[in-house]
Amino acid sequence: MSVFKERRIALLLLAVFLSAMLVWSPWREVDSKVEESLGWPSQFTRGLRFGVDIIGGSRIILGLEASHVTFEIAQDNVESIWWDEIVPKLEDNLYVSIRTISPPDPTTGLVVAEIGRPVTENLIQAIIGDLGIVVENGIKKAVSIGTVNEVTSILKARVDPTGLLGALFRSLGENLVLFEIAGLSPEEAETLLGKPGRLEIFFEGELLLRGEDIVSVYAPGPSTEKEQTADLPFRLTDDGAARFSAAAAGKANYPTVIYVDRPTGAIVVFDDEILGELPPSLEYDPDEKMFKGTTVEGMEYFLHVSAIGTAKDELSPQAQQFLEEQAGLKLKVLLVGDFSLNIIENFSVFYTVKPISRLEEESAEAWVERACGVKSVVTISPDLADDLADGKIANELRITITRPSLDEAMNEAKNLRIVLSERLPVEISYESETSIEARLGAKFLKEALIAGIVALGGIWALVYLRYRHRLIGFAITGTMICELVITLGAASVLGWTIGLPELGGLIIVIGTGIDHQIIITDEVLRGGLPGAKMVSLRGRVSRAFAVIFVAVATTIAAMVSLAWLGFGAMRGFALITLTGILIAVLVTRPAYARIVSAIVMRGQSKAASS
Amino acid sequence: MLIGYAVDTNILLTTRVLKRVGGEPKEQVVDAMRTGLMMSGSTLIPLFALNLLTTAPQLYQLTAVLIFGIIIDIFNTWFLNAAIISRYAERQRRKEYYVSI
Repeated sequence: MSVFKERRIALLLLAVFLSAMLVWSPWREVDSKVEESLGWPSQFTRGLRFGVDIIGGSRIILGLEASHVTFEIAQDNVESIWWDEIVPKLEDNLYVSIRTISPPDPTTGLVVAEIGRPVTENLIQAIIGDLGIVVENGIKKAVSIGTVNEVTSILKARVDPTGLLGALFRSLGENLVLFEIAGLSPEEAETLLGKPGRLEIFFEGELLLRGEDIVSVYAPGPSTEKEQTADLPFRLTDDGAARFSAAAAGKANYPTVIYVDRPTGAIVVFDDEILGELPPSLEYDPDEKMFKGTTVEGMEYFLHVSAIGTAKDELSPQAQQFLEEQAGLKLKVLLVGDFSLNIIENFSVFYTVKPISRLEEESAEAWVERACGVKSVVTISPDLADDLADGKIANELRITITRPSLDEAMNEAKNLRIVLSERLPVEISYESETSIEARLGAKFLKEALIAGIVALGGIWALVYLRYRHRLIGFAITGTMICELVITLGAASVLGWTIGLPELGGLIIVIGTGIDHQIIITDEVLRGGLPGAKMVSLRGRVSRAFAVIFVAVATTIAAMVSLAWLGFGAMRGFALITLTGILIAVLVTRPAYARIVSAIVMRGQSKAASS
Repeated sequence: MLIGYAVDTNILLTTRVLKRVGGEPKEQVVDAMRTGLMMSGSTLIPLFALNLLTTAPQLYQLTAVLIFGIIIDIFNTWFLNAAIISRYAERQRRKEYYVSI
């Protein structure tokens, strides 16, 4: 069989073999999730990643915690009071950006603003004093469409920048966002979403810089000065840099505290016993009702989250009093420690209770810092302090992170970079987490297999009826199978997720594949029209390819633009179609043409010899 | 998806009729039609198989749309476009005769 020695056919066989090995990937572990939903075939598809439709996944509903507040300003110059006094006051006290939804109306004195966190009437009133009042029932839990879009696009860029994981974000109702991802448990999906970060940098007990002040965050690297330390350089806006320079000039070794998602509306309630476990560098200040840290150089700083300690099973009088005072101003209680049930019930009268459970091998210090949202404490280096004192303005700053090993420090720096570079404008909470059942699953796979066999049989029969040639039928169906295997192999190499849109893409690849094979067969087999020159076998094949190339070029043009402009499911579909078609044109179709030519020549030589 | 498909058959028709030498345009159209129908038929078979034998609603919808699209494409290509192209080709040929006389 000289056909198999032909280069094109050897290439085809090699590609099929490699792809089959990649799809099978016997060296990989079988994914338990896939095995559960697909059954035994999962043994042979270890190299593929399946989408939400096939193996299930998780669905998380995120709540955007923002409030629309209606103010009434009963004074003459409503506009200047709003923009010059109320907005800065709110921003400074609530540490969030205020978006004015409907601008101040001079006749009625009404203003509606969006505040990126949950608030209460008491809290707002305490901040703005007698500048204005919050109208009755003027606080609504709502988020503007602009904010929702901003949040979804930031999360999308964080979780699935290429669109190949098949992550889906959709806004639901007024303030909810639905997030769907395949093959991951809700916990894993939550890790992927990351802690949506709201960054704050405190210096000398004041909020100095916010997420908005950071222009960009560069890639972290190991520090050249200290061991086990990673550097994370970032760049400030001119405004932020000016503020930072003014504040930090000449203040060598002063600590700056970096928070991400500092729980501003919460009180940390901790178990008195953990105070004994804390190192000397972190202690509780009962007057300020906050934790207080000390740097190596002996400078003190506060962790700006209200905290109160109590015994595990009995609420201390101070704690009781403090919690009663703060009711209405704070909304949440974060539990650091294992408290008894009746204490927790006590809390839940006024507050939403959220336990912060201790991680494995976590030190008491790390636990408290995590509850307070502290990411790192950085000291201003003497050189920087001198430079700033000389009047230089530093735009480029570095956060240094020291951990027990360099790897840990680098990991922390990488996480921090993600958090810093894609900050969210509002607070986010996980409203519900469900895992999705596999919609297609094992039953579907069996049906698809039967459908595939029936389709192959049908095509073979159709081809046989048309050309009266058994071998050509087998050649066509064989090539189809090769194409399918190679495309799946490519999907495995590129790490694509196979979901419903990708299955659609596979159907097209195979569908157009048969079309082109039929064009080739027709050209090769037909005797030519009356009056036309007889063309050699090779010439006829190349004529068939002329048609195919034009058709393929059109499809590729359409798919490239779809892959370029589309997103999510559309992009997955376009990419798999594109790959499949390219593979088909470059590998399988030339090989098929060669096989058909061989079959025809064999027929001719047989006819000649008889 | 359907557009890619429709393009396939239309390009086949056009190249066969306009580029190939020999034969009357009518014959060429008939010849192209034979290949084209074969192509559509061979695509319809797997689509029908998927449509009838699998129960997943998403695939059912996907294949149903494709099946209708391809059937409509058959009419579109072989009645509308074929008529237009063969007319055009005959006109061209008449011009050629006219010039050669």
